[in-house]
Amino acid sequence: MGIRIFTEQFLVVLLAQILLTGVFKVKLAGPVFFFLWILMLGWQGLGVVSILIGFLTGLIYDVLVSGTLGWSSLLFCIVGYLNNYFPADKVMERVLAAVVFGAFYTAALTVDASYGLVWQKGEVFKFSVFFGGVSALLAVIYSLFLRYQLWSRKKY
Amino acid sequence: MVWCFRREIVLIVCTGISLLFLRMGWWKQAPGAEKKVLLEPRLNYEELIRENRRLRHLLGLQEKRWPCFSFVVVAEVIKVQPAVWPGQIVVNKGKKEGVRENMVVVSSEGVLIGRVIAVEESSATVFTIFHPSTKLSVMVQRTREIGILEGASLPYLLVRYLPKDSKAQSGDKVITSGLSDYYPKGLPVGTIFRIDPEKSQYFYLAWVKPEAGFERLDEVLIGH
Repeated sequence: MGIRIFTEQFLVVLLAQILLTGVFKVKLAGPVFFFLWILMLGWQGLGVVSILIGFLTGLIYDVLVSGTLGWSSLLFCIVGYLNNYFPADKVMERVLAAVVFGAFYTAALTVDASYGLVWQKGEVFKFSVFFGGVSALLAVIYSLFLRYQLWSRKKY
Repeated sequence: MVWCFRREIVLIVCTGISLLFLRMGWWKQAPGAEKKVLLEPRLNYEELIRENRRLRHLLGLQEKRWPCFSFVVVAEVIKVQPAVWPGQIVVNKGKKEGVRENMVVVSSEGVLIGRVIAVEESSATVFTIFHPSTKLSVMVQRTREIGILEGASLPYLLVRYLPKDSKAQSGDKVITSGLSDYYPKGLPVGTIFRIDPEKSQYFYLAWVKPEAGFERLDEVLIGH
């Protein structure tokens, strides 16, 4: 992947994370665009890059949301790695991957090492599925955007 | 050979560094430091002015006489978990500033946030009213009926055991009753959103919309 396209993607995702998260919020729960980007990189066959990007964007995300520094980067790395082994050639498979990994990420976010779950189990399940669904929807939109971007550069 | 395992190697290195960050707990060692680093080089005046306003407001609150508190400390929120409807927050004041376990935490508007659970030297962990272990006695302000608030059913709170002949209705304010061990009487908690009969039909339960703006927690007051 060209450096230019990669930089463009990073800027788009960063801006989306800062500006658009509020727009897509449903009852305060908004999507994590960094997370979607990691999935998309994995689907393009960039396994190592997706893990590295997961690490870096995780740190940025932790700073943005005042989370525990290192927790999101750890989860993003794991998601980036596991995503390489998830079959995701068709749209439905990608939707399923986004739901599964989105649910995993949300569930993991509500765990504290000292105190266990900081939400009730039912709520964790409900919002994990919800976040996974939102992630899947945006992943499809983002996938179409990437296809258009590559097509417009006649590399498709 | 090594190239075959490049993903695993990168994963191990990245997770190792992440775990190192977690173990170091940077937010604990330098509370508020990251904010200063971000603000100072950019001279973000707007952010400074807003922070100044907030702090002035809090100073006014701290100096104000709180009938329910004999001791009040202003603290900055340095960690929220998770980012939405946080069940747990960490503040940058601890034993050194006189914070103790079971102190009550309220927002800058005086709305109930939660209770201090653990205190470090310069930080404290707070369980908010969203935390599953939260159970406190509350009162419907208009009708004076008592119920038990539980930190469940996000994004709302649940008040159980309202009497069957309850006159409470949606829009009524819910406040702390003063019957709990830790929470003083009269702290605003939220507004009733919906009332349903319990499964057992002996009580009513109310869905309460929290008063505190959990999505913009910057500074809080800790008191007892």
